[in-house]
Amino acid sequence: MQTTGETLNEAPGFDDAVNPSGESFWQLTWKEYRKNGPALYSLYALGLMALMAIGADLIAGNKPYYMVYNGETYFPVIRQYAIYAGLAEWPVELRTRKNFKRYNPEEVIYPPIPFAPDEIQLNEKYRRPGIGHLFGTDRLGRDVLAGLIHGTRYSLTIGLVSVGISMVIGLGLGALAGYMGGWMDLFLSRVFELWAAIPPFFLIITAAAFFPPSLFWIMMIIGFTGWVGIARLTRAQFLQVRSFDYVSAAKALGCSNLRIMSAHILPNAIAPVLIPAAFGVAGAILAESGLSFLGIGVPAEVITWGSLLAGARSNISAWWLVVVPGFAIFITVTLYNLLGDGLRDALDPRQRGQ
Amino acid sequence: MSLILSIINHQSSITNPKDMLLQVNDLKTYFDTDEGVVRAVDGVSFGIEAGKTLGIVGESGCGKSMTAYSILRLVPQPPGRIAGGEIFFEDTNLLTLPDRALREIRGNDIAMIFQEPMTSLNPVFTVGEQIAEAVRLHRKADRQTAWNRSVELLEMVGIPLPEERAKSYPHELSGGMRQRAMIAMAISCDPKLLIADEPTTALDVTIQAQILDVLRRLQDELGMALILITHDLGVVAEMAHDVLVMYAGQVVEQTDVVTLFAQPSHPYTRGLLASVPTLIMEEGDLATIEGIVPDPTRYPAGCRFAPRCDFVVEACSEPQRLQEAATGHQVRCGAWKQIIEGGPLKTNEPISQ
Repeated sequence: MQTTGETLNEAPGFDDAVNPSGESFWQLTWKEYRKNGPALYSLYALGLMALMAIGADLIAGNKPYYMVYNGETYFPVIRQYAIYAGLAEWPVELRTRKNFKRYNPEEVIYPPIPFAPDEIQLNEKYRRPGIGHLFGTDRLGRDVLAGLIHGTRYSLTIGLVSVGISMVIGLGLGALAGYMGGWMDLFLSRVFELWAAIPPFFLIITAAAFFPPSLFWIMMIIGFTGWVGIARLTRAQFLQVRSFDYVSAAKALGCSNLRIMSAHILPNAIAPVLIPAAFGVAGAILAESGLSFLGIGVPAEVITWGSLLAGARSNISAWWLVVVPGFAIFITVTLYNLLGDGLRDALDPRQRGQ
Repeated sequence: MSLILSIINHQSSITNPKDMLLQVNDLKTYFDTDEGVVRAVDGVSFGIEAGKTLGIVGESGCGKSMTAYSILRLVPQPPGRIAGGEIFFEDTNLLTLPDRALREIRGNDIAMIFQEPMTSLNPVFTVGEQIAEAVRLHRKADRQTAWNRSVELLEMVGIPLPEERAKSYPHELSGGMRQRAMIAMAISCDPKLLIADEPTTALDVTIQAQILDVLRRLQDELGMALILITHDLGVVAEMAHDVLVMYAGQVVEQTDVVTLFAQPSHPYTRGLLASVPTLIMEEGDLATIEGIVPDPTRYPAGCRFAPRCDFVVEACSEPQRLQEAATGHQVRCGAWKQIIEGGPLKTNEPISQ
């Protein structure tokens, strides 16, 4: 081995080559994900659904876009969103009625589906799908399509929040088990196994019996029961990543265990954990529908896809109460599963470059 | 060439002599596996003075890396454990130090660079961020100061356009550049001791030379001591003041670099030297040491090198102790005198059969 001092150091040798096609991990993953047609369109469809959830009041509701009442002009839908954001309140003269149709405004433009999901019209009970009510009405004359559109909000919220809770628990415990190893791993792994041995839906039903029926508790219960898969995968990931040199390097620099786990390992370990998370969203939506169908889910006045479906129990001949929300649940769950499949394929290095 | 290796014959009660920056006494690092206890490091002692370079040489699996990992307590636990010994850095025993105090020393007083530049940088952070992290950890600097320091460090290790490269992700850099970045990270807090675990093994020969150059230059500038772990005797000849030859978890020879090459006294050292290819060799004359490193769970009861040694005598069935061949020159072989008298080493002559 010969060194010739500074000359070699300054020579434009191989050393100074920069990888020109340098693509980051996530860029590669996206490139791979895009090749998967069904997965890509599921992502688009879910994006559309999220837009629908956000814009539900613009599509369906009894708050008009534009209204003239007692000579005053109002834009109730816009104000509704301001109220959601906590920026405004209803003016005093509009606080008496929830259903704005009752004000009999002089001029008015309603959303395309001029019904709120909880708008009761007792003279419109069990209307078949048709003009006026595209997907029919339920036993209280509530419009099913309006319920379906507003139900998107609950489905997405329940799915994402529950999985968010599962992720926090699963990532935390999985990271602890995988990184610490030893007796901690032994103990936590047994906890995972114990937890996984209980059929989740029965666990959810049991837990639901102890808490008041509310959206908050439903999300908590589903979140607290669904973390095992995530925890196991996180543990496996941490076991693998903790043996990489850059973890030793971080340790050699004097980083604390907490910092190594959260800043150095987690960003490298999280990708595969997104797969069970995607399936978890689907599972959470199904679980909520199941609970609401059984009547132990959300409170009666909240209209979710599951509670719409539950309405069919009292009148089997109202087939649209089964088909419409059932189909919506089926589609959404399928979309999330396709998303999960796509992620799994895209993150699998063996698929790369094929 | 000063003789800096102190002589400790397994008396672990000896504390740190004042002139040593780092003093390792009778270090034992074991791994508990299903096959039994792997004695990766089995009673290793050495010292290093401030500003000097110590080379640790040996085959794969001889325990040289684990010796280095043990110094910073980076041995994965479990299955690994430091079963005994003392490691004095200045006046503190690193092995009994609480974690928090050890973290103050890691990266600050003692830094380390690793063999594989491809995997020793975190792929999700830019190079500049990773270097800045080290600065922020120990120097309590704010973000901007730390970033400026990391650009400055990248310049010090000879990376062109350091401001742009600081914003690069590791995968955008070549192996040599990554190793430079690793060095920049390691020297970010002006360590007194840098441990380099095979820093050039994974690199092309031309780049190896550049990296060694960077290390030597930085050592001059910063006055830090260097422990250089390698299996490349060429690297040792060029960089080290003193050398530790390891075999099967033990030190088999330790001396200064001149003596090592002029009068190698342990048969294993001689074998290593003989197996370095030279240009005057005939084709097909590549010398090797016959046999393989013994199973670390079942070391021979006597001399651990005996199964591969050409000079086996009856005494070799007894465990060998380090013996003093000259002042500051220790050999773990009872027959070292006869071996030396066997004549000067011929590098083009296979030592075994």
